[in-house]
Amino acid sequence: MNRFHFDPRDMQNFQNVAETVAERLGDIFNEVGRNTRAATSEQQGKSKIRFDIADDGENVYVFAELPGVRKEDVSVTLNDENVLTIKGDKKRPEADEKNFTLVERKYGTFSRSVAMNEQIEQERITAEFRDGVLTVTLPKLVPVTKEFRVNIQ
Amino acid sequence: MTATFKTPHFRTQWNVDTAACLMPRVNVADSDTELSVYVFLPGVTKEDVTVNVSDERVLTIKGEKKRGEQPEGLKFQRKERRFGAFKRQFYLPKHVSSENIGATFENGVLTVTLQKTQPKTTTVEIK
Repeated sequence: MNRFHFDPRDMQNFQNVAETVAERLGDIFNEVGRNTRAATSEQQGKSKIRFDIADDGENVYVFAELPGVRKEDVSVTLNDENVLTIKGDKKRPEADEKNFTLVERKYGTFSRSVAMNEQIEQERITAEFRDGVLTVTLPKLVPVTKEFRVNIQ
Repeated sequence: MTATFKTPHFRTQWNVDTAACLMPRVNVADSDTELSVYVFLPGVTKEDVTVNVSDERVLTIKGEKKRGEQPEGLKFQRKERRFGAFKRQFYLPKHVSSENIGATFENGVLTVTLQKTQPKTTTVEIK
């Protein structure tokens, strides 16, 4: 009986489920995998990196959760098509001789790409790794407006 | 409401009061002498986590995941990360000591090291 009473926390859980579904749908439409099915299958069996993407007017920030990944095992690239890719290898903490009895987060390679909505000044991109969170700062390209004043005679 | 879930070596005590998306993921490695519990806590600092073992031999890892320092005036385009209080509990297996527990925190991973005890067999002499 106790199982079915209403608890506000269940509502919270429901909300989380709804958000997760929304996220996944968002992924289908926003994710760079041009072939949605391929992108989905690529993610299967790999830990998905959680991204937060924010904008403060000057820069775009990408916060990626990469716990247990070492700095030297990650690469951040921005291609000609303005697609940011974070990829790397999540290595096992110690020698393989250890027998893992519970694995909720897989080890191995990971990759995630996201298209930037803004033009980015590529040379000034910076990245910082702290407490398992990678912060990529992408300065927006300020369009140079060339204005030529014509004298009216 | 607490449910128990059994894995061959490590039983989890699931807490419904922690939202599923905030439940830290855990990997457990088993060697001859110890059990290493890797708890993935990206963005959590050492100060915001506690590890303890109760008299009932329940290992509790809890804390709070905060957004931390970020530039001001951010407008989010995408929010997948979750923040808030988290908690995860495990029943210690019989062959693991509840003493001499080690914990380290590095790169967003908390490693809890549990020592295994040698099984004691007492032979009773028949008189």
